[in-house]
Amino acid sequence: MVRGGRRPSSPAPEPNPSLEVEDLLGQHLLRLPPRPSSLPRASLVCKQWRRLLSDPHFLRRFRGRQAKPPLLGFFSHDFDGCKIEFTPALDPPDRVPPALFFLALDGAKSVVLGCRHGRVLAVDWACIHILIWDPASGDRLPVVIPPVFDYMPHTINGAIVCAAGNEGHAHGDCSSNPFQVIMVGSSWEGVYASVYSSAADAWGNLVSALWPSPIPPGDPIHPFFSNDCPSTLVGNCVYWLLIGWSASILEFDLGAQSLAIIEAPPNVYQVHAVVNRESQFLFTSADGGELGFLVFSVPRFSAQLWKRDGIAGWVLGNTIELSNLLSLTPSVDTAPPKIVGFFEGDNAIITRTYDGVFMVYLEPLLFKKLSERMAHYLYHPFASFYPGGT
Amino acid sequence: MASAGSGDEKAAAAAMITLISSDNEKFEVTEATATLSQTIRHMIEDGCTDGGVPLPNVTSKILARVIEYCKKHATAAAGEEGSSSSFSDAAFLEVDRAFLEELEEFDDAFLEVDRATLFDLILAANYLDIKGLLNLTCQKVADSVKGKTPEQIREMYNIVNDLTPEEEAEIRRETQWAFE
Repeated sequence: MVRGGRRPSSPAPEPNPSLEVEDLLGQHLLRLPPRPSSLPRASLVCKQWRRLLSDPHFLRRFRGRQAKPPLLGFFSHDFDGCKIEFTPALDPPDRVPPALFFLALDGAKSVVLGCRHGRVLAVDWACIHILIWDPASGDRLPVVIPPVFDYMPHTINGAIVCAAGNEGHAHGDCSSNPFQVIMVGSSWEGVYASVYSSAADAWGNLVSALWPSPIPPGDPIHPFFSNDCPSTLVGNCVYWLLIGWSASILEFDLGAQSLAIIEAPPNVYQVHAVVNRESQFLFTSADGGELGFLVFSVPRFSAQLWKRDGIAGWVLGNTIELSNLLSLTPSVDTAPPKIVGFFEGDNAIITRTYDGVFMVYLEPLLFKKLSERMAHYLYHPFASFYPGGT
Repeated sequence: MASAGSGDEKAAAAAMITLISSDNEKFEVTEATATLSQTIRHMIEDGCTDGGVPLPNVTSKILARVIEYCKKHATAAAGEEGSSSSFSDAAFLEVDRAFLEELEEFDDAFLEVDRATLFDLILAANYLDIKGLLNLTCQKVADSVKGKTPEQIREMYNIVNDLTPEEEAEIRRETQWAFE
């Protein structure tokens, strides 16, 4: 029998002791999904929940349970390099608004070099410094680039990593950890690098490597950093693509703090194809940890996957026919497809097509549509737990 | 369960423990089943299980369910230990997968209980320190909250909102987007 005032679909309030005992309440709340809206919503239930959910110890445990932080969105610089803009990747209520992660820069000519482990790295060509920005806390740290680096776009580049390594630490909860910025440069003789450590607030020694064969005198250019192939962390090494007459790969080993130059896969690089924007390249992770190299052909709209084998060198793998995968019909009226980013966390490429922007996961091969339109040149994926919490 | 085994049987395999619920009902279980509970494992190690283990916080109804869970999962643990014998890897993977699927089905069915029973199971899992059961039951509660508004969560679990309007406004201001 249903008593008065109570709807049949909602049973009588039952005692729920396990939600009142703080220790057990923590057990429940620890298991909430790591979506950005989870904790703010639960904080609004009552005082006890709010207190627990803002406890730093609880937040550390909550993040420690997750294999990896969610992809919140992407950072890009605007055309003039005056601001850093955020493009959310999630739907409401997990959609972090662009206004929250917006950064106006003092001078013009700033470029986002990358995002990793909760921080954004930008370089300001006008003021000759790099800027490290933690969007969740708002903290900004400008660091002067050592004078040994040539202050020219294309001849220097950089990457940021959390200094805590991978053991016992889920990257994404890195705000309180020290970080490192690896600055790399290219010259007539070879490549060189120096690491800024936030813990020491200092740059380390310069390390260098010579080109495997010297650049002939009279050559008008030496290899320079590719604009549209973002630096990528695979295993314990960061990779950059150097292009010019040929393509080579710069490898910085975070453990050994050493530099090496690796040849790109054979016959994938043609100067005219790059100049005419008919091909693009990306680093990927192959077989869950080996270095992969993706060769994107714009006219064919296909992606050829290579894998670096310790013994055999470069091995050609699958080719992904993206127009088949995404069921697209090329059109002569619209802009050609382009790769606009790579997400290390999910080993996924971000490609802009005639019919919207897609995230294509490489292993296993899956895709999802991100948006109808994303107009920036390059998107740097930002994966982090939210809120930052202190 | 009467043990009519021959004297040759290993003592460990035959070791039985008596658990006594709050309403004085006795349950006889194998040591392998009982030691999924860290609390009982410690009592066995300390040698204080003669004459039965009184569990004054757990009713017979809940204890029966807890034992059902432990029996199933103790078998699973035994299966894993035995998996180093002479079968081929492929055969083993097949067996393992089938068994894991069965275990998952068991867990899903096990959670088909009313809310009061679920909370009693959580309290018992916590008191008896059975990690797998605590994880399973707490996850069920966390899943039920997924995607719900604060109002829906309060209604679901009969929680009184004791936040002041100022506190509420502060949370909403800081993370307004999360409530859209």
